[in-house]
Amino acid sequence: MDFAIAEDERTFRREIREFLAAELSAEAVREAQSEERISTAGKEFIRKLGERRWISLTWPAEWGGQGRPAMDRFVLNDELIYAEAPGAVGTNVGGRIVAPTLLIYGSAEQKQEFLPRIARGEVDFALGYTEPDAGSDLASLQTRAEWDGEEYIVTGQKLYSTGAHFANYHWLAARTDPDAPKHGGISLFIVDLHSPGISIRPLSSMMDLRTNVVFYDNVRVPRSALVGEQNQGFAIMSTALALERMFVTGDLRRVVEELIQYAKTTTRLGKRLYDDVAVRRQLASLTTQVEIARLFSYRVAWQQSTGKHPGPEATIVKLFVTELQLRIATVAVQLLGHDGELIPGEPDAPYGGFFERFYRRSVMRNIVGGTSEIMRNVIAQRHLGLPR
Amino acid sequence: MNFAFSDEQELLRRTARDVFADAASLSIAQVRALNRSGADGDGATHFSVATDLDDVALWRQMAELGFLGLPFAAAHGGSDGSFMDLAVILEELGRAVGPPAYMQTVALCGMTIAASGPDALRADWLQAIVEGRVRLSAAIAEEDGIEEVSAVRMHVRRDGDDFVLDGIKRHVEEAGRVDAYLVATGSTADGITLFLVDSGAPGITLRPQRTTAGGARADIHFDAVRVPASRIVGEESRGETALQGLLQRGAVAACLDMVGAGEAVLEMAVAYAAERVQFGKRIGSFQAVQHHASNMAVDVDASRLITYQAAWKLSEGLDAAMEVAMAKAWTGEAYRRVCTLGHQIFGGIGLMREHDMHLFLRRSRRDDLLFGDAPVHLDRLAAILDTVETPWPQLRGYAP
Repeated sequence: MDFAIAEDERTFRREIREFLAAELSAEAVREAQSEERISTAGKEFIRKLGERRWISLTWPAEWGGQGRPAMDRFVLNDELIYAEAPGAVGTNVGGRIVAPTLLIYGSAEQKQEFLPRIARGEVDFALGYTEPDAGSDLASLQTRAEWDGEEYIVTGQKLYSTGAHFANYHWLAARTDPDAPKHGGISLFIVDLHSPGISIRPLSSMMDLRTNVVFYDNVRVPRSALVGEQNQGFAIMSTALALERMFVTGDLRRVVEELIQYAKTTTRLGKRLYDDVAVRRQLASLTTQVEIARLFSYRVAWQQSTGKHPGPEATIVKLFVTELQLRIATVAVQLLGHDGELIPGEPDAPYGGFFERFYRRSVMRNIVGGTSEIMRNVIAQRHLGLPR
Repeated sequence: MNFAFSDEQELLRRTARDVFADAASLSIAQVRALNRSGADGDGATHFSVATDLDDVALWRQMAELGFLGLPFAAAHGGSDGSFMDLAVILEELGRAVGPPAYMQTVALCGMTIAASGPDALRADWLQAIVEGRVRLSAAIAEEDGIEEVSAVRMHVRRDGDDFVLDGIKRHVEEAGRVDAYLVATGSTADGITLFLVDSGAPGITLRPQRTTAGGARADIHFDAVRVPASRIVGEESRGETALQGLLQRGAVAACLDMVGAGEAVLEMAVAYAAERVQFGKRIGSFQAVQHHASNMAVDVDASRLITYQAAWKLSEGLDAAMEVAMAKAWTGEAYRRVCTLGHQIFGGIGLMREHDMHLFLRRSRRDDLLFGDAPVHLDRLAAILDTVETPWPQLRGYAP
């Protein structure tokens, strides 16, 4: 056992922080958190990540990568999210999901076409998984991709396709065999979002994050867009997800640091907020829980770096981190009182309204990427071996 | 970062698990047997039968396997191991709801003597511990009922070459079953002095207590108990650091006990849920039960990591104040949740004395309180957080 942060990790963290100090503009942060997320400054920043070869940090050298261990990507994402920089999660489907999947399952042409552009930060992808009748039960998705002898003809709709309004490509899961068992008839495609027959309609959310419905109306998709084998899409998605499931906790550390600072420097009814026993204990408890989340997340990165396949560990991180965020947000808005109700843009809002929005966005994290209930089912059935 | 135990530690774990699971060797088996054997109508009395158990066979076996000498120097018959090696045994004892003598003798008292000396005490006592000839227990808490340096006030005065101790030590584990007590005296203002006091010394009387978890708990009255100066552990009035170390090891040892016990409860409950049939289905297929089991798994896993980190820091001799507080604040509550959810899964049968579940629940009361429960440790952590810029300086890139 060794819980020390290695010297080379500390050096890398310093390097990332220096980079962030020089290259991350307030504008890029603001845009990354904005409703539309279409970000000139953010894209510029992601291109700079690409120039450092940090998007391709862990890829093999033949695809322009540096072959660095998964731990380094974890550290990079951790620092990016601590700094609220774009490119770490959510906005960077290309680096996070598409590239690692293509490295394993992609054709030579696909790798050639997409990997260099992803590495340079030049293309954006949006996920096309969820449908109106396929949420937690993703394998029941109904969007059809029918082979007509020359091309696939895609018809259906995809929900909550965040970023589809500015992305170049859709990372699409569609049914290619309606007669196969539901997990076995799904294929993955990379679809140009500007293809004829695709229309995108905005959905606005309580989190002030735009997402989209993407409609497919007889969209013609070439054979070359198929990722991996036909009908193997669900397995590929699962493997890729397991390989890439990486939760960082920099954002939670940052938030708890800020809350402690707030309690230390805020006086209410003549005494420091931090001197209230209930407040101190809550903050100490949240610090403890964030430390646990940090250890959970490091363990998965360590497993990925040392060739071990994360099992329950990856599911546990997802469940614990997202539920913890909501607990933190709840304490935060309690601490801030009425000021905590002030939304971003209000002149008197503490931290520019960050925590007001953080509270609303924290509700989302227990749902996106698999609800907490699904995570618990997975732990119980797949990892503890309880019967279905 | 390395989250794995060494091969040697894994081997140690397997050996310990086998030994402790062997019903014939472990006192817990006798606790179980006694629990089943009769009903005298007074549950508490009945349960405290455990205090009279003879676990000598187990103790001898642990000596033979080298468990009792793990952290001690080879010069004293030990194996020059680390606290992390000890952690493996402490966790496995927790899994078996094992007797508290090991924690008290080796992790608390023995390691204090090893760390503080003097050489004469090391020579006299460590070899004896390693060989299984003596057992010790720490007497720390006083009228405030908490194990904390600032709560120590026991009166001590010098009389020739001897010292004379007066006062009451509360809630002492293994009281009446050990050869000597490690007694914290003095005060933070005048200096703390640690004494190794023979349990049979004149002036010592015991007021035994029956507790939720059972075992040999007592208040110990010291009435002008004479202790020779040669029995000072460390130096006169300079025992605060050593006591602090003992308290930290104690808190982590209690956490390790709960980690092992939590693993056992989880495994038992999952195995039961996978076979118990109601409404024509195995209850483990019900989502309500599955979610209980998942919540237990997460609590146990979190306890494991936060506790291992604290144990590792102690093992490396690093400042562990924050990590120990976090571990104890979290694990006590998590283990209580694990036990109560375990009970929900077992239903009625888990309430019966013939079932092991109640032993684990009882233990949760003891371990949660031992060396401070969540509020105590959250307050300690909060006090530290008040003085630092961030709890995570190591991630700022400038601290190790």
